[in-house]
Amino acid sequence: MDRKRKDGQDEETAFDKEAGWQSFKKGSLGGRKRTCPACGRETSQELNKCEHCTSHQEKRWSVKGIIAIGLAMLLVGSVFLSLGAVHEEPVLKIEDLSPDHSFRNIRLEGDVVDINYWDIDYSDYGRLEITIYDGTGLCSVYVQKETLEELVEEGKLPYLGDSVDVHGRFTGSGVESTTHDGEETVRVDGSVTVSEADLFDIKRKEYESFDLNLVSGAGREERLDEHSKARIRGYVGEHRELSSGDYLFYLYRGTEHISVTIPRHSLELTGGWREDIRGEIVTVRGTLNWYEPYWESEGSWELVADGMENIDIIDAHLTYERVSIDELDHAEKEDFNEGSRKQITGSYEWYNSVSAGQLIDIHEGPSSVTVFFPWYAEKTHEDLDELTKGDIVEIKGTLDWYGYGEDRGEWQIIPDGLDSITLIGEKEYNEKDVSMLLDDPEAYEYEYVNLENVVVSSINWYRDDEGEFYTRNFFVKDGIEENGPSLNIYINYWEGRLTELYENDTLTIRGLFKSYTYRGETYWEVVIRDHSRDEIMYQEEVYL
Amino acid sequence: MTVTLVLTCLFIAILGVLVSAPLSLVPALHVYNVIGLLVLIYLPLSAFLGPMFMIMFMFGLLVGYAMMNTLTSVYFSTPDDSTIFIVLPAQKYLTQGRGHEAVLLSAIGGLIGVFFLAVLVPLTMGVMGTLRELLAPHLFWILALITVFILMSEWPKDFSRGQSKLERLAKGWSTLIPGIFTFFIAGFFGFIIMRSQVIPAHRGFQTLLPAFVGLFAVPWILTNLVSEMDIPEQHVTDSVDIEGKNAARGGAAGCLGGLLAAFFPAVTGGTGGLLAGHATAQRDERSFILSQGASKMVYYVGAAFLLFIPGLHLTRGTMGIMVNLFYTPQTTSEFFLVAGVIAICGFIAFLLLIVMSKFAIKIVENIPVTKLNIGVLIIIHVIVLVVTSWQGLMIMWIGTSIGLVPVMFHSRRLNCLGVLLFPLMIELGGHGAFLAGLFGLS
Repeated sequence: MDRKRKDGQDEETAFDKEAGWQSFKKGSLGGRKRTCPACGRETSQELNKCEHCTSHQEKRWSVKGIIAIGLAMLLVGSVFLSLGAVHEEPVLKIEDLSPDHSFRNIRLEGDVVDINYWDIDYSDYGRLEITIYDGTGLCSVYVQKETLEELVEEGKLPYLGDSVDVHGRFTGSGVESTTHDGEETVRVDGSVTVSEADLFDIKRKEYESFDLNLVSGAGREERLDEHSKARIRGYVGEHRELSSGDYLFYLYRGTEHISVTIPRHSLELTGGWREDIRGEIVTVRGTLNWYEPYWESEGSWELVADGMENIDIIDAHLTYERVSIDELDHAEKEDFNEGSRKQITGSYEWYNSVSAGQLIDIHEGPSSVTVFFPWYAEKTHEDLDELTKGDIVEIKGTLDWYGYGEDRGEWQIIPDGLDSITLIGEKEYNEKDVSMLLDDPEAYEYEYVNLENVVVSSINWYRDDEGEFYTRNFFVKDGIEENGPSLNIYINYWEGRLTELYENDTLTIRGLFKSYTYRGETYWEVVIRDHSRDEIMYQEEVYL
Repeated sequence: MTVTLVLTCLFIAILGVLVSAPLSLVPALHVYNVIGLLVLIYLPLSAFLGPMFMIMFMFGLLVGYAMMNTLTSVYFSTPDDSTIFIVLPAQKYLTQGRGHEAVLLSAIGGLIGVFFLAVLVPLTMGVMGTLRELLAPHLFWILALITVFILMSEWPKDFSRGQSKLERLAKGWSTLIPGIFTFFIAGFFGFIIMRSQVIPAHRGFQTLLPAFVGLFAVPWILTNLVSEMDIPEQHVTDSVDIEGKNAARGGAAGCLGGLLAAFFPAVTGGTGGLLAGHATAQRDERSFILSQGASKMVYYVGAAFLLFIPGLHLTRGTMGIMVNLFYTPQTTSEFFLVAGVIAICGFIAFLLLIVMSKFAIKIVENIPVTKLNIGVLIIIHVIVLVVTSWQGLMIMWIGTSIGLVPVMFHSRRLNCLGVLLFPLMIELGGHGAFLAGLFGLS
């Protein structure tokens, strides 16, 4: 210490001399002593400072006093911790954002109105961009890959229509005018980046059940709100991956359908397309979205699924009411409820492919019901190929009224999924002879018949484009000596034609006995059909 | 943020304070070395342990260390870059049997620093953001000014003893020239070790440890060994010789200096305290020790705290950089949490310091000074070797030889801080590549 006193002496030196002199003067060498609180040595009680260490003897801060004051820090700390526990960041309005907020952490709340998932350089690095709308404006929110993975783990992956509460760093230069849902609003020229999963809260809205037919036929302004959460049940039809990476499939109920989109971000982040839903009845939970493609004059409602995890297969809990084919065949429209689930059993007799899908007829004696496999059921054709005419099948499906006139129409069944057809047996061929059949043909109509050792009585020959003779139509009688009636045998498919057949050949024939009309007259025949167990055998040699 | 989370964070932070107590008694072991190792361990485990828990533990360690690292400076004469100025007055206290009182003075400063951080810093949040934007482009010349101040504020010694003007001039410069030499040689030394990969890459974050130990700690130990300083019996006092006005002045200067150090890169707590001491015309020895206590608390903890201040998020200090490796604070709740933890841990560290000081007294009283100094020297070597390998030892010895220059020529040891100031000033000025080229480092 270089401080000088008025007399020119260094203060420390002066102090030491003074302390020593005073202590001598006051007889400190033999006078009252006290222990210096600083150095612990004995010093004169008369002196204000210790004669050894020069420390002040009085007006000292006690350690206990300091601790008592320090206790205030506990109070201060507790107040701050309490604030930390209860503090909620203020929610800003998007329309109020300005460049002043740039590089600050801000909190926004709003509904997700758009989602984009970005891959960068085809690496596994990705980020999610969601656009939120808080009633005052639109703002982009970015979620980086690491945070996104945490959101997936915590089940907080956002979907269209969800309400989100985000807290992140804002970068932007203000807002500009735009429109949303046809209304004037603002859009932030910038974005908020969320970098912690804890700073991204999601509030899922309740799903409301909607009938698929209602959604399918609704116009934009009709009954439905865009971005409202919906739960819709239907049959999963064909699907495909879109160029955007989203998946699209059609959800059917009867002949009505809506398109369902599964956003790419959910597919990539939560496990991809699930094959097991194909051809199944499912419940899809998602968000209604009005889709207006530029190439169509009108739009339609689509359901944007909240990821594959919100598609549930429901096949175990449906109940079907058994109904006879005859009853259905003769029923009027008012006799049944469209969309009700029915179960029928009959023999598969007839197949046809039409532009809308595939049709098969299921018979029960002379009565029949058409079963319609819509074209979206991709596997149906293959499955039907595995069926053989004459197979007895059980079919579960939904009743659909197929009207073809003011007051005309018929009930058909649309199977509920590919496993809705169950093979339960084969129709038997009954031993008959020609005269028995033609004596009372109506009694045997649509019966599977087995004609043993019938003789070819006449043959209609035709010639194809290459000049080869063939027949698909000939007559048989019961025996070579008999003069009884002849029965028409008709091979009803091209590949079954015969090129070698002679009169008086003895054959065994299995086929379907039925009538046909020609120029107003009713005739009877045995039809040899493809995809069946029908056959023509010649002395053990099989023609077909 | 739930109450459970807050209480868990507090518990973990207190655990950090408790761990810091024994660590603070190990000479040359800097808290940043411990934090660096912790982060290395934590990063692969980050998927399992929430970042806030890790941060809280680090804050506990930091607050504890900032309060208790006075112990090694006072009792073992092994300062770091922030306690270098305490050693001289503390040794005076120590030789008077008042080491404990010196520790308490520094601790009072630490408490004032904690109060400043927890209560006053939040009030200046808005100002700091503006200040950062204003000062960011000017850091180069601000650091240059600080350097000039450090060099010019060294007062010539012995200049009045010469017979002639020339002799007096020569005697005056006999301490100044070594001081300036020390600054620049330390500066080049710092520049070289920062620019080159002397320390193995996987220990790169510990580069400055051996340099600081060599520059600041080892020369003190060697001086003690040569001078055969005797440490008298220490008195554990239950009161402190300080008055309100001195405490206020010292505390204010320390907090201001600590804030300067936290805010400006390369300015450490000691330097900041010194600058602020000059600025506030501080002359009292007690105030000085107290201000250094406050300064290092505000410097260490404040630098990390700046990262959590809403609207500022300034990455300063090693801990701030380490935290920023795995976490970016975003919410005001986090700020409140950290502020609360600093306040509570600060007080707990103060109580612990009183206990640890008594323990340190037992060590210095029971172990002869020479043996103690040799022991400390061995510990320093072991730590540097373990943390930075043999290359670190080489750096430490070079640092020691530089650090001995001011000791031998009676110039200011503060000039050793050129090790930080000079390279950073050069880099901020955009001349790093040029100088590296001259040294063949590019």
